[in-house]
Amino acid sequence: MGRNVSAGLSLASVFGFMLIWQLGAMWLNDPLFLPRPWDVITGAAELVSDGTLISSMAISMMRILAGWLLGSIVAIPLGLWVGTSHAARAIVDPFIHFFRFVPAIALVTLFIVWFGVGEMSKILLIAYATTFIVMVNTASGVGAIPQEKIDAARCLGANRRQTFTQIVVPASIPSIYIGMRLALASSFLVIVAAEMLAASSGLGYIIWTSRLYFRIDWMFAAIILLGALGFLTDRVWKMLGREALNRYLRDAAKY
Amino acid sequence: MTAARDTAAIDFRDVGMAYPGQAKGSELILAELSLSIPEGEFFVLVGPSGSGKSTLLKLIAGTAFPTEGEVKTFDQDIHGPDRQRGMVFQSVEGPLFDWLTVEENVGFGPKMAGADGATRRATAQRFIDMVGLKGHEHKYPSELSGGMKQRVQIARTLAADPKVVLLDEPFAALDALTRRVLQREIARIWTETGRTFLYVTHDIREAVLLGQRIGVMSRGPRASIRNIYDIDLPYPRDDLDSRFAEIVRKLEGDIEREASGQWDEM
Repeated sequence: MGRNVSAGLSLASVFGFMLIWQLGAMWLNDPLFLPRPWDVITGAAELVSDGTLISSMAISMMRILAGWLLGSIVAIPLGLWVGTSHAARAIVDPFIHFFRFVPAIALVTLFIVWFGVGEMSKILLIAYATTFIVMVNTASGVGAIPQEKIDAARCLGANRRQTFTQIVVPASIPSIYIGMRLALASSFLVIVAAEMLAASSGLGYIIWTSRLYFRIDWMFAAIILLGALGFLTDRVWKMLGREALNRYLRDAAKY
Repeated sequence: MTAARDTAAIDFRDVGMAYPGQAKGSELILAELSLSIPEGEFFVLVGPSGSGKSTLLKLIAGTAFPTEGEVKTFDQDIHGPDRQRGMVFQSVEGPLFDWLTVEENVGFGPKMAGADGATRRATAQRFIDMVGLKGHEHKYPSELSGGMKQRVQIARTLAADPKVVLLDEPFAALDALTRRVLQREIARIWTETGRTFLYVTHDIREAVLLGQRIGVMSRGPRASIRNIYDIDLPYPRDDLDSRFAEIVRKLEGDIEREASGQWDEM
């Protein structure tokens, strides 16, 4: 199937969905239950004109990116270390298998108690959620490097440090990349939960407070924007992979 | 051959080997194994599967260590892998560096040795030409066929300028036609480089095609070299020659007896 054909199909499918939504909303005729697409657009325009939507989007995005990058910066070296050292794996393993079952959302309140209602608690929460995903992916990527690759490098004269920097790190880039992509998706999950519980700004805050004003259209506008933002950041990440990391992701980027 | 005893390229003296964790005497994979390979020789090792052929190569490469006895190269102890002893692996996908082009893969050894970019490229080009990959310098491994990948491995190993080249069934995973072509070429490459080649295979025809001497391993555990044959045929060898066939038959008989354990009963 050609690129243009599949792009056209995607466009048609979105348009078809909007049509069904419009017809469904007209049939139900209850804007407090299901607003029409046009109502959502005018509602969004209201929020845009008073500046709420843009600033909320910016603040949510800032929290996501800051937490995601912070978490990755911690997770990548940790994952490389856990992947290469049996001792490190033994030290870190029990914590991984414990915290795996403690979702970030369970920690929202605790983080607010510890780090306050400001930006710190939200950024750290996203960093927490990111760290585990990226670290586990990185470590399993290191573990999946064929032994022959390591042995080959050593037989070609690479010392231990060179083997790490020239083989282990580049060979793990696909798993790091995919881990960060998964973590980005989970960051959106976490930020909404955090902003619903404790924030005076952000898309999650709009979704939560719209109910007080019976503005289901605002709620829809924020939800759609959230999805669009996620879609867009994922696209940007994919593009970055294709452009900047192409040689490392030759086999991994085919999804 | 006796004169080479002290300065042999590879020298096994009463070597026994058990992998860690099962280090009981009864579980030695190799036992009382002695073998001396002079510099510049093409030595082929054949034997039934599970006889420890790959283990023997690992002892030379320095990725494994003997439990008993000693393994030396040019009278030196082996403390770990280094560029003196290059290795060509059976695996087609595993050993190549997927994120590097053919040229960068082949230039890896010189890079580790600190060569500058121009020297690296020149060295890489020389060995890329030698293995017949001219024109594929800027391709990535995923763009190459299995046979071409093994050519990259061979070029990469030689470009690191090793004294000893270890080949662990390098063509076993390839189709029959590609295998035949590469078997011919490896004999030519050995002649051109003049290095010591130690080639492991379970294909007797291949062994007779390549080896100056062929060592037949006994059945494991406690495997050792059962017999060594001098193959006095000129290169390039002709596998349709009657003497070739005779040697193959003799070796096949030996290995069959080895595999069925008949020797132990004789």
